[in-house]
Amino acid sequence: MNMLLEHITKSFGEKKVLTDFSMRIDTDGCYCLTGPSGIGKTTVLRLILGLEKPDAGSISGRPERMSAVFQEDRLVEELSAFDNIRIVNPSMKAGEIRKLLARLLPGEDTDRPVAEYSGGMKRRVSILRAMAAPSELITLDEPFTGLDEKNRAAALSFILEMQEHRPLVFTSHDSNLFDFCRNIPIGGESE
Amino acid sequence: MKKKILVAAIWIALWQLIAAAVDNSIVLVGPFETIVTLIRMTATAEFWVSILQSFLRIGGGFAGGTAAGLLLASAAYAYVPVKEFIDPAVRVLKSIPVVSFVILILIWAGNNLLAFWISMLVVLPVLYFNTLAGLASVDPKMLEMAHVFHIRGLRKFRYIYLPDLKHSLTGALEIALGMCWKSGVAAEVIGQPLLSIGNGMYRAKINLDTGRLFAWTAAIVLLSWGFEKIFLHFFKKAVRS
Repeated sequence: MNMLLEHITKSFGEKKVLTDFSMRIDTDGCYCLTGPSGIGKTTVLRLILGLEKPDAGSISGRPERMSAVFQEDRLVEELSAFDNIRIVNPSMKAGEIRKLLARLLPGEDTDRPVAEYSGGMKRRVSILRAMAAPSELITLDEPFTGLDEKNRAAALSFILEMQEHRPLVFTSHDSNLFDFCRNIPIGGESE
Repeated sequence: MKKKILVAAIWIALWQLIAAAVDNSIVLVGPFETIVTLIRMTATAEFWVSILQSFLRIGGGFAGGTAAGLLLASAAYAYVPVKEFIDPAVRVLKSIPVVSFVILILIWAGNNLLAFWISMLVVLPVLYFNTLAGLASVDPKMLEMAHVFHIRGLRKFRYIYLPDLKHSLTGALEIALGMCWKSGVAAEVIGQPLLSIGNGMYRAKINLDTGRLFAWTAAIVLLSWGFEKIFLHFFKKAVRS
């Protein structure tokens, strides 16, 4: 797949967030949107997901199925980690879900409602959910927020392993990502 | 629990003391006489047929009002023009005194299903406004999440809407369950359908049989309380699973 964002302009009220922004997303690609806070990184992800419409410019090649790690966890709080994954991928076998959970939440009781989890645990569940969902493109908005160094490294390695040719579009301040992903500065030069 | 029983016992004792002081069974009967009369009434087929008929009318009205309130609220939530059209009508329905409807339904449809229609008309606005408020309170970020992950249909209702909706629905059902019995029996007292609780109460009144009036009232309280407990038990169980 090739998804193209061409000459995108987007404003919210008086505030112009994106001006003439272009980006090409290829299969297998890994991209990291960078720039200061409020520059429009999350807006680009929302445009990719179809949650915002551009004021000008065009978006083509958007895949039918996408998944996301949102800026907030957006988990169903009264469901367990297991069920939060199952509702986005009902055809996934219970054993497979358990295996995935064990990767990022080893030794944790993942049958408790996620409302009882710590912030870091919830973040890892939202990463697991995005990677387990059937999708052709994955956006990850600051996915490592609230994770310590060890869990951050485990999460990154898990994401790359689970990529399966699906393009990944990150926003992150984690410089480790630049080893794997193409840097797309927002508000400066764009590809 | 013990405290509740103690408080209830004090009130019943007070009631018995006042009834003994008044010493006039037309003005006031005590709890003991009420229970004895109720037990005597339960030995008659007329009592059980009246209970059953009133239960079917009022329970049916409750079910109809609940279904109509839920459907109208869902349609109003999904389509703004529908909301703009329905909202004022339900608001008017909420404000019109029950007795006006009682008289109108007596003229239009007679007394047989009066309690059904009155219960339905009382329950509908409660369910409509509370369901609408519950739907409006669903987090738009969770709706976006459902959209992105293709969570649709029943799964979307169950996992995205229901967690927010169930609190307002439970509150609405608790209010509606109490209101439907009060208004339904009041409608029966005015409409006088044969073999109904309202008719039994009316006959107790014209015969100055205060004991039967209190016994019927106790029967309504028990029926309303039992219906509410059983219904809410199954409702809460259903929304939990």
